[in-house]
Amino acid sequence: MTKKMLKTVVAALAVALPVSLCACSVVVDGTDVTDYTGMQYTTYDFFNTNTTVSCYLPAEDTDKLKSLWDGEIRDALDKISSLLSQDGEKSDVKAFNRAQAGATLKIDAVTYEVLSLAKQAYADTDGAFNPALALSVDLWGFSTRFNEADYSPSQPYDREDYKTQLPDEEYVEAFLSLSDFSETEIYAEDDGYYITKSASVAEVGGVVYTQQLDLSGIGKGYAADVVAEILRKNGFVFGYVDIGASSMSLMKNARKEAGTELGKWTVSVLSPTESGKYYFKAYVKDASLATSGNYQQYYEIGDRRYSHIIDPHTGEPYISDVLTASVFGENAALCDAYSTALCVLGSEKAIALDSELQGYTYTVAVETDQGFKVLSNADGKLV
Amino acid sequence: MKKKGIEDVKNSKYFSIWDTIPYLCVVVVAVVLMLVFLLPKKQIVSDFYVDYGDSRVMSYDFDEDEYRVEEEFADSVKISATAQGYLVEITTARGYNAFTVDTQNRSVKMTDADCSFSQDCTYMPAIEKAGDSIICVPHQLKIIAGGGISSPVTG
Repeated sequence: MTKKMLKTVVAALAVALPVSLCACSVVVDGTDVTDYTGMQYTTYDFFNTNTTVSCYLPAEDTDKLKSLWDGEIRDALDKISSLLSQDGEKSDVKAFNRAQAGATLKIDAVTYEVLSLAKQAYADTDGAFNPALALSVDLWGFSTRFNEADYSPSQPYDREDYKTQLPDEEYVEAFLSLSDFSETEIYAEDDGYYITKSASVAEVGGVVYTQQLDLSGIGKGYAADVVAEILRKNGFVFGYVDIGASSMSLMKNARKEAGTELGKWTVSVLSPTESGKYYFKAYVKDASLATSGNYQQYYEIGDRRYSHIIDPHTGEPYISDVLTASVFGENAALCDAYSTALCVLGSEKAIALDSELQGYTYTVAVETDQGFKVLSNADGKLV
Repeated sequence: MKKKGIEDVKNSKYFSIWDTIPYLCVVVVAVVLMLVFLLPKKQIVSDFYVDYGDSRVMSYDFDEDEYRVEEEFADSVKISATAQGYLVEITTARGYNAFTVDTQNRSVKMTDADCSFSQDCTYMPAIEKAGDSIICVPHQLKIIAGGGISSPVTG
């Protein structure tokens, strides 16, 4: 080899070595995650669905994550789900639902925070998101008691087979009259947080009904954000929290995924019409999301589909051209509420709602004769 | 330098073709390394396991074509050979689930469940890469491919 050749090879190696080193390590937002390993924990103990925490972390931190999962995370989930459940001993929602019309109750700070978000979403969506429809949800057969294997009719308005028999119109109207969420007030005092129940009552068949709340939907989003914050606070910034596949809080991704930059997750959204298929993918990090739709929890009577989302204007399962809606933004609880509202509102009003949802990106599948089309305010960020 | 030598240099090519070979090698090495390390790879499923609540029910290793059913669930799991691989049926106190294992394509698909409402798990996409999972919430049954974390799926 000539001297010239030798110099050339040395120069080439000088270029190749740094390139090789760069190529061998994966750095996301200043953190070398090359040797990070993936861990997942799942529980079914909360919100009647699965809660899964998925994290990429250094091998030496696996015990720390396990401790966090068994301790602070489960404690937080237990507290939130207990306070917001329909039947838990410590449930603020249960206490509210059983209270007399016009009663004032002291509530936990967590319940107050969730109710504050519910109030915000109720205002932002002009009432399309409404947590005061618990009676209507129950009337149409979508509360948790209908999932029990030993379900049997127990309420005056129950049918022998709720999937083939429609409820009496009398109940639909009565329960709708109790769903004005603005009549229920929440406020903070020096000694704690309070809720004053709507004074409205409705009587059907000799039974007096009062307003009832269902915060499970928005509560899942709230819980996803709380768990993600616990993880971040303890140094875990790569991963995501998934509650029932409908509410998620995403941190960063430690793996490179096709079509997007390092650090972002590819979020696949299931098609409302084709089983097991996706209809769009979004590339995001450090954001929350929620999805609502009419294609999973529903039954059909005649030509009509009755889904679990109740239209606050009719007291019946919603009818609109929106088959499913996904919302991305800072707060998972608001994403939850907005995605529900978008389904109820339909595509035309969803477009009009755009200016109200500051900082939130939505994508909806709008039913057409050929199947569905995709409508989004994402300016082409979604594919 | 002698005058003839200077003329030789002036008249010679700017560089010889052989000089480019090391640079071409560097480019090839850099491209290969980029392909190997930087571009995303489909993470092939090497194994999967099935959990019922907090308990492990069974696991399967695609490389070895070998499954292991935990003793506690020996009576709960039925595995039958199919043209593509296996049909696995699991009956627990919460209910019945069935899923297929395609040993050639290394995929797992929930095919049946007697859970209430809409049987969401049977509509979930098949497990096809490391970290993918399928969950049957009413039955608290989870199938997870080992080796990573799946990308989020919402719906």
